[in-house]
Amino acid sequence: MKLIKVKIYGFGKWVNQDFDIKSDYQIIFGNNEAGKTTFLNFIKSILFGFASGRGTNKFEQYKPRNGGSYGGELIFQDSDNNSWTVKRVEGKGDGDLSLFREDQKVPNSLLTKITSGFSKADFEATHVMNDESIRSIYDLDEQKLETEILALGAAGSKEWLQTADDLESDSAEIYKPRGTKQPLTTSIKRYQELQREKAQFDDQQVQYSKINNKLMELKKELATSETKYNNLLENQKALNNLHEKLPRYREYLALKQISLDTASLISQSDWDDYLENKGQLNALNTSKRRQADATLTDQEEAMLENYRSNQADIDLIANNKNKIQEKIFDTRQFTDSLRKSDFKSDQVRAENPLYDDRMELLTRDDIQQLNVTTPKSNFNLGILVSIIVLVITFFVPNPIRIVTGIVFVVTLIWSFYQKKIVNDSLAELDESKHKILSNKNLDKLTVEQAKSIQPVISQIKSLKLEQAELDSKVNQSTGELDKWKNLMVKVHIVDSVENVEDVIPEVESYFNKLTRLKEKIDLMERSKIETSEFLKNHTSSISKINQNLANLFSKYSVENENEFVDLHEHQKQQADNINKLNNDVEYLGNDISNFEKITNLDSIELDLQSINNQVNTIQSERNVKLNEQGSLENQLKQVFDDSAYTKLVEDITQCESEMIDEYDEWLSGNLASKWIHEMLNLASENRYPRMIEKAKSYFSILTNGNYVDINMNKQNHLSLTRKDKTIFDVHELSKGTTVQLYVSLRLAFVTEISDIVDLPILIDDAFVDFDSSRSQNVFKLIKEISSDNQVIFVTANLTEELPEDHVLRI
Amino acid sequence: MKFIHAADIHLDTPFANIKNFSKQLQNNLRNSTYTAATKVFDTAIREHVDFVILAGDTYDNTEHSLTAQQFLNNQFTRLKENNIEVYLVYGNHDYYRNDFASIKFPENVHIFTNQVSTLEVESHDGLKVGITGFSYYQQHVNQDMVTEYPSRGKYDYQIGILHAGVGDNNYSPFTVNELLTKGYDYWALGHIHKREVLHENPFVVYPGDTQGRNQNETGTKGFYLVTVLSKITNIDFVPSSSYVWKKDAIAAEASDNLSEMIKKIDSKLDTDDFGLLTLDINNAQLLNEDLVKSIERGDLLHHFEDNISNTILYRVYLKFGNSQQLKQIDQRFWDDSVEKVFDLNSIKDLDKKLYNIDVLREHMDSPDFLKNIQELTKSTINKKFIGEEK
Repeated sequence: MKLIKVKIYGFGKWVNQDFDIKSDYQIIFGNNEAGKTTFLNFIKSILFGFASGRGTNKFEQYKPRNGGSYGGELIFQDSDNNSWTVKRVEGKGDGDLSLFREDQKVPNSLLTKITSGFSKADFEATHVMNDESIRSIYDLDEQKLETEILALGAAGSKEWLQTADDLESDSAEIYKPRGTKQPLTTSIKRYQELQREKAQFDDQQVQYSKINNKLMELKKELATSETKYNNLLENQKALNNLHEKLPRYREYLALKQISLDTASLISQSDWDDYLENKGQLNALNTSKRRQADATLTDQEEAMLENYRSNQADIDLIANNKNKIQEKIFDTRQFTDSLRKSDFKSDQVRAENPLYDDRMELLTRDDIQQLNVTTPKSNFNLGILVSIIVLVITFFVPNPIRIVTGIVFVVTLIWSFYQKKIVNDSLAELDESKHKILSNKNLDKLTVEQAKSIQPVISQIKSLKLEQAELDSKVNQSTGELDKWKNLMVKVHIVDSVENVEDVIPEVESYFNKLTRLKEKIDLMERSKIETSEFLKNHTSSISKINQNLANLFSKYSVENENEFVDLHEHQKQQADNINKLNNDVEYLGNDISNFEKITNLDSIELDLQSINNQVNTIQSERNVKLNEQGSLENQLKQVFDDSAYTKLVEDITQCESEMIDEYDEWLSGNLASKWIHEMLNLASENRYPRMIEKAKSYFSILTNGNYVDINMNKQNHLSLTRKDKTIFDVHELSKGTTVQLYVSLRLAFVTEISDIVDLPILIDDAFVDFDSSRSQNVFKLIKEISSDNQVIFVTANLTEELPEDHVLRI
Repeated sequence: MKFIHAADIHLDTPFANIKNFSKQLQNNLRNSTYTAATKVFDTAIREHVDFVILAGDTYDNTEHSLTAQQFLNNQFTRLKENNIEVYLVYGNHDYYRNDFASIKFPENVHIFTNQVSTLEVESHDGLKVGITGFSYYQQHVNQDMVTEYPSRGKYDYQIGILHAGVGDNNYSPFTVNELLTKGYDYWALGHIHKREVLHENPFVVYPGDTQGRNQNETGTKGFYLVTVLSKITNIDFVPSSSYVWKKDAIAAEASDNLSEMIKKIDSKLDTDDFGLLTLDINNAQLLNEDLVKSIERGDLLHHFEDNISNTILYRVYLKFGNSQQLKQIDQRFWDDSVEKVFDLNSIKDLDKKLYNIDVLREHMDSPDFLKNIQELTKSTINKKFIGEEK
């Protein structure tokens, strides 16, 4: 509907004012503070209610200051030229509303005929353009624009759009192109991981063929090696056998070498005969031997001879055997004593270094002489007297002093005389003493020393005597012993004897021998008698036996018994050999021929060693291969058992199923939203694309053709194309251009929905600081759109020549 | 003459979402492809067929198929003892590589190379039979291999073995008409797991796989026993799947609680055959919000984990129907926008990273993908409005 009249009772600075409004566009021109914005607010307030007194809205209440009546009327004209009066005055809430159609009061609910169900907020958002609403351009995106326009398309559109949004966000919870945690994203990741895992599984077929081929090859190799192995074993066995029998074969060969002449075999009966004769002969010979045993040896003969020729001496020796022994003992005793005495005298000598062997004992006279003491000299007495006399001389009066003096001289002379006498006798004594000592060879000693050494001389002298005595005894017995000894040697009882001591055992031995010899001779005598008797009895039988044996020996062409026994021995040996040979032949059996094929028997050992080595080698080779075979067979079994793979495949199948379910869920949400939009778009007769087309054209008009296209970029934000094809984001535009864009979009929107919502567009140019050329464009645009939609434009800036009836100056 | 035409045995197929089942069931499932294969060979022996055709994808994968090879070797030896020949081609799953097939099959097994060739066999009733085919030597065969197939030769009966998808560029694309021009008596196809007789007289047959491998391969699976009598070909389907994948739905009611739901499901599980059930719970929008959460947590599945019924509850999907809210919008707007929203190319373009994941790419290329995703999307939207009616 078009607004044709505005009646203000009281609103802000306006009181009781009526205005006629042009139904296409109305320019309201006035200076600042003229009440232009109040005028626009009046229209809004009457239509949708007064602002409440609370909060910031109270500044939009515009209650008249003078307390006059508040409110007013708007008169619209519908397409059938019916007039509709909207009257609002002060009242509860947003004021008292009354609605009249052609002066007929009608229910207030019919207000929707004018507002088409728009709320104040809707109206402000779409039809009112001022410096506040311009900011919203930065929030505009496709969805918002689309939603806004679709919201007007069909009944309950808003709810539908909300549902579409919900569906889309539900869907985004399942999958977002750039999301990481959504279930479908996770499933895809898992699926790709499982596929990778699957790719890592070796192809079972390839594996099977590989292992199977290897196994077959191995089995073939094993079969070949088995034949070889068995042959080797056979050879080894044969060689081993030969090797074991080799010593016997060698024995066999050796035995065969010995010529086995069995020509003159001694018959068993002959041999028995021989043994019997021999036994008899032996028995006889034993007796004979006994006799033979009783003969004297040469030694014995010699001994006997010696005895016979020296019987007297030998018997003497025999009788004196004990005596000789005693002598020997004595001699030893004497010698010992002599040695002891000698030792003792040496000891004494050693203890007395002053002693000399030439020293002799002093006689008693000598000692007396030596003991004579020197006569007492009166020299000292004379001196004393002379001194006393001298002293007296000094104390006596002179006459006496002469006497005394004479006395003194006399005494003094006397005393010296005395002294001379004594000295002469002393020298005489010493000389005699010295003579005594030198006579006894003691002159090197003092008298005292000579006296003290007397016992030593005496002791040594007695020792010497003792020694001389012993010495003579030793000499005597030694002499006797030597005599005996010489006799023994002479009669060959002993050979030369160095040491007398050794004689006795020899003598003992000789007489033992001699005794035995005597006994033997006795025995021989007796035996001679016996034997002669025995021989007398058996000589004939021995000769008979000997004859028998001789016959026997000649039968076998042997010289003597030894040869015969040798022959028999040889014969026995032969028999043994034949036996051995037979055993060998039996033991060796066919192997003899095998041995005979071998040129060098020593090679058997080497061959065996080599074949053993070969067997060992092939055995270990085979073991390795058999192990490998086992391992391969095992692997083959494992290739069949691919439970891990089966599980993986099942996991993949499961994952695929989940992925498809999730995809379907995501897609259905996505498509549901899309479907709702499409459905609404259809219901809204494709308003959105048309709106965008309009906006493009308006924008082009406003920018003088500088911008040619409006689009949505990837982020769903507005992007603008300049005529030089440069594309700008909305944020990159200048303020002026942004305003132009906003105005274009808004106007496009409003004009697009004008068939549904036919309300005037209210433009407050407070924000439009356009230069003149831009202003012209604005007016141009207003004129253009006013054919579809009524525009009320308040401005303080009227630059263009406009029809006066469209300009209201206030 | 009698022969068996089987394909896509897929030995060793792994199964998803079975980890919570009993070990025995898990093992049975793992062995199910073998069980199915055994059925094929048992049937061959029992029916005294002349030969068995295996039209590709005998193995699920060729990297680890020794167990499968040994199994087949044993089975083929059995067939040999019964004078039954085997004609085998490799498909895209078991395409031939040099190191593949380590175990040598007995000589009754004839394997086609990557060159189209014709083998000759005489049936027990004296028919001279030509069998033409080729094996995959790589995962994808892009050219139309059928052009290489010779026209009918001088045989009493000629069979073409072909592992391919109709018009599927990755897998030897062909058209039925192309096959018909060859003048063969029977086309033994493989690759498509859904059993389908594309043409009769002559027969062009997909026997499908012998055991369903996932929830999408529903229904009894098996192979064809083909009898040729007086030049008339008769085909008999022989089931071989030991577990049948099933899809079913129950309708939720506002008064339902968990035990009510269990009761409803119980009746679906009590079946004579063994199966794995994927269950849709329709009208889930009617259910109490807590119950929905409980089901989404898996409470229903957990309840049935240890259940000893022949049919196992495999998965449960809650399907949310139209809410009042949706009804406010003119259905026309929804319908008109479907084409734009559910456009395969733009879906593929949605996210390059996702498209580069092979599994997801294959998923997007699967036949019912768009249909399923649209259904799911609708359910998703509807789910947003549960509870708002009350």
